[in-house]
Amino acid sequence: MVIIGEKGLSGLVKYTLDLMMLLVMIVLLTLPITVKMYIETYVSTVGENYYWFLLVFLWVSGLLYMGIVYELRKMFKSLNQREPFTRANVASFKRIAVLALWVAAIYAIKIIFYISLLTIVIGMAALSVGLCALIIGEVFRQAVEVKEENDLTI
Amino acid sequence: MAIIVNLDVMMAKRKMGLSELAVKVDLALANLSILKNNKAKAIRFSTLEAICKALNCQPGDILEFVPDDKE
Repeated sequence: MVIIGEKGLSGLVKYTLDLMMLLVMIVLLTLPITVKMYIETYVSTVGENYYWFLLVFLWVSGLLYMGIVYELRKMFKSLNQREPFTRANVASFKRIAVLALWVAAIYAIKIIFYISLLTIVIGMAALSVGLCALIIGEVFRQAVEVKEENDLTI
Repeated sequence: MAIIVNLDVMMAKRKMGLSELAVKVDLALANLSILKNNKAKAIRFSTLEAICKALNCQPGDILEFVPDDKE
């Protein structure tokens, strides 16, 4: 199986990311209705505040998530062209790290006000994604430097 | 840069063009221009060997050290 390339695994992942982008957009647009349905079905005791909190919380984290998917798509595009070691990708990793850490921060706020197990799990996941992206971004920066050196060795 | 590549001088002496040298050394023309225009950061011994063989010269004929006088 081909891993890298338009017709390989990375090409497939790129299409999955496209699909995910679309799904996130749909979810974000229908959020006011779905949150209302969710609260009416599963939560009975909490007041009006919870609806607005959940709506804003999910909207903001959804937007941040969309940013992460957008950066990932850009990186997979360059990967499909077999040019992954570029300065643009280093910048993408840094932006992903910042976005993911913001998601973690927002989940931390929710943990303070409305704690739930799933919130903790997703918050921890976002935190580790952010930290990993920060580190892989630095590794990529060093790789770009090595590649430039190698390209200019005749 | 303190090390200067004088490839064009040697090529003129041997009356050899860049593309002809590229074929003899088995190097891409783009890479050879990088070398000729002093843009290269390093040169492999194997490349140097091939160029010396093609131009029938010594490495000193191609490379020159010029001290930086900026200080």
